[in-house]
Amino acid sequence: MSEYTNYWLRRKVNRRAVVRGAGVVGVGGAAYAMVGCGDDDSTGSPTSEKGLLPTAQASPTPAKQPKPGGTFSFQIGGNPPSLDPYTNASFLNMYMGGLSYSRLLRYKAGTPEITPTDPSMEPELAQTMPEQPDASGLQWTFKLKPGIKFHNGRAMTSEDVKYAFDRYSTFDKSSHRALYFFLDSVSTPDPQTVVLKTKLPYADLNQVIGGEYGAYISPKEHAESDAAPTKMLGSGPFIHTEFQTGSSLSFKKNPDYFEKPWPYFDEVKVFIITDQAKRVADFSAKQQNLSWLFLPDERDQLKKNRPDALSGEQQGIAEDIYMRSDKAPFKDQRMRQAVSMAQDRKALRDAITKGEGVPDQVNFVGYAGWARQVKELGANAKFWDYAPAESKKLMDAAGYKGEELEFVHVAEANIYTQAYLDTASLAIANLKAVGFNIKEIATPYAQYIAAGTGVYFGGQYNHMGLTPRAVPYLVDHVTDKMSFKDGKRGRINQSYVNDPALEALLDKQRTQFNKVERLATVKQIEDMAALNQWEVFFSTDTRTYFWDKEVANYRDSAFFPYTHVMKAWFDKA
Amino acid sequence: MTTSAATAQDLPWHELRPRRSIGSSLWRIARQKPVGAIAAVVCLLLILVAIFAPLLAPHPPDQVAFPRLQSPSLSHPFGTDNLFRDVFSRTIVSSRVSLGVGFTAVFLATAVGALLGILSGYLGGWVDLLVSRLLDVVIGMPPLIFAIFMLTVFERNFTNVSMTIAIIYMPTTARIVRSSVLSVRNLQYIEAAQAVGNTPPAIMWRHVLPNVFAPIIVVASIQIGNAILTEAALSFLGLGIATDAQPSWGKMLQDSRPVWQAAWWMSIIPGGAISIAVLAFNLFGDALRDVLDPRLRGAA
Repeated sequence: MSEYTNYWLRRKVNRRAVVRGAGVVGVGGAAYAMVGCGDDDSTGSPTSEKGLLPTAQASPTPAKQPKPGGTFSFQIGGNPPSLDPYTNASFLNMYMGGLSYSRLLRYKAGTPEITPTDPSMEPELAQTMPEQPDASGLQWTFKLKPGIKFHNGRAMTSEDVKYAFDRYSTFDKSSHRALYFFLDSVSTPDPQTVVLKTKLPYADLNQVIGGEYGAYISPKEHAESDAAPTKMLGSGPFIHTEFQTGSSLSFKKNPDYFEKPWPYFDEVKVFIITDQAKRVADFSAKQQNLSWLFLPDERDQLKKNRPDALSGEQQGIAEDIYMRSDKAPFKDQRMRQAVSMAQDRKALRDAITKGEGVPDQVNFVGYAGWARQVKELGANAKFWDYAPAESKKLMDAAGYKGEELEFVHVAEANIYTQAYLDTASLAIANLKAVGFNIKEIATPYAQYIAAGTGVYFGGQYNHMGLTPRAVPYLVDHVTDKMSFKDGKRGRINQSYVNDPALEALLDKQRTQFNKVERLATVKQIEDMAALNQWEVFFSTDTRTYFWDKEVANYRDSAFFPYTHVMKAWFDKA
Repeated sequence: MTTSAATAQDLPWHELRPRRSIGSSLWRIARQKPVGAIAAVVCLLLILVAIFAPLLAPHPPDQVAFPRLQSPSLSHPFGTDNLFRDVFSRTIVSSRVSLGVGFTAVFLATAVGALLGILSGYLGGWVDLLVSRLLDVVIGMPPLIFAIFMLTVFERNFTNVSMTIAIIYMPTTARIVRSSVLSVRNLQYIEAAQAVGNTPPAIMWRHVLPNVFAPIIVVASIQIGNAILTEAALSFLGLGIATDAQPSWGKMLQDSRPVWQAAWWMSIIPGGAISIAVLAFNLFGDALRDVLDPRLRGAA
């Protein structure tokens, strides 16, 4: 069983692939070609016992002696609504959670030797990658590393891990309950061992517990205190010291961190900067060491302002149009196809991302080994073509008579960026150009997303809307987007997709541990999604990371940008 | 002399003063206040542009059909934006939202503010106390935060945006009117009106209001500029009512942010339109105040 248990997640780049990858950093999308197939050395601690250098990882650059000390700073684009990992799923605090919290597993990506889009995991709290599930496919055993302490000084045991999983999966205010639908029970045979039992063989378990919304372990005494929303208290490399709402977060080095010799920095400072222009200005003025998510125009400006800084590009956020596929007029597949063929995606790219990016079907964007580009979709690829005449024919065939259709989008530029608003503008213009009668509804974000689901995001819209794509971090992401099982819509099934044949495929793929078999199922799902155009996808763009050249042993990542900050140091002369 | 004096005594009172045509009166004011006159012409032009915007704009504001980021030229006098649209057409059409909201908000603020100011100033007592404290409460709220709150809670449409801005500016009008009423209510003609048995509402309507009308007009004309600026700020923040088909200058400014360094015209032109409108209405208001205020009449 251990041979096929998530073996595709253990893929690691070999030296040649890494060197090749380093050469093409800066070319968006090329990262897909860089995923090599090397040996799996993901077991055991990656650190040496004595020295400052990690020992078990290949490096594309000559090894340098780490220099502990200094204050590392970076920018984030918004104020984390809460720092409690159990009750808040905002990407803002989940991204930073790794500074103070630990998980059983974590992404490998984020250091120079790992391809940024590689979704492989490595052990964090766990001693090794799990060698289960057992023959039933239902039981996963994790052994904890020794000497793990919370920042309050208490030793972590398997009971703390059990508490965390129980809280994630059953607490009524948990933001992650849906994510842990597969979890049946958690047992603790001894203080160092945790056994997860699942309700079904679930192939994405590692990605769920270690991925973008991974199970950070916050101790009961902190999680149930009033301080939980404003303070992080975990067992991670940095101790959270201060949170100035809307302004900054501060961290200091955890001297008792269980993975020696990390961290190297004495302090970490996070600046909350909501204005994109200020982010550019601040990094240009060397106010922070790292920033990220810059669009091509901003990237070029920063490259001009900071020619000394290092940079890396990731395939970025794309938008999609969601439609009420459960009622007229978008119940008719031809209407949804017409929406897609009305879109001039190249013009959108020219307007918003300087022509950069590619049309995409998005379901697995950024997921190396799984993403399938539009041109690989066969006959269904034609729905990504800009074909206004064909679009009109489809509308006519569907019997559309020019009824007014509401198009909802968020109004503020500082939420999903100006690129999102520009996409909305052009998408609406394209729809009008082929004869759709569109009524634009620009709504405040607070109304769009209120109370976790919101008026529009929660599905209370009439016809169609625009959303940034949700970032896939596990293959079963498609269930979130397209399931309607037992009358219950998937968490982000905004298009009201409800297709029994699709549902069967969704059920099937999540239990397939063999990658080849699962890929075949996923392909069928993608083909169905392409033909039905439940969501009309635009192009993915490029988003650029910048960091000071003095920051050694750091690399951009398609996933968490700060997972491996503890491994970096300042290499100043 | 004798003849002329006798003639003057025989004439009705309203004919003692030489009659001037409206044209000559305006010309005289224009010569006295040339800056105000120019501002008035600009205001008039802006209003006409807003009224006839659909006829004046060469292209629909949301038409996506032109080369991207083309600098100003004969075919596109204000250039094109990053989304392939004609900036000239968008600037013209934007005047409708900017001026429409500005005028409506000021009309509401003036109507409510004047009513509260007259009631408060004339009636005094607990009415004055209540109205004054109410105004204190409204003034105590940060205007932009209040607007963001209102437009987040309530549906954003023309009426709600106008009402929100009106609430922001209403206290200023009310306070100025109140202070004017306080100086008027003790004058002899008011006492005379009371003596002959006029009711308070009749006195406020027939005698107080006409005598505080000048400051009301002046405050309103100045507040139009401020209201336009507030609407632009809200649109810039994504809280206005502007859409791609019906833009506003504030939204145009917001749209220009990603490319302002590469395309100066995308920010300079809507920014300039806002500045011109605000300046014109403020200067016009200043000139109006000078003309209507007897104390300032003839001042340099």
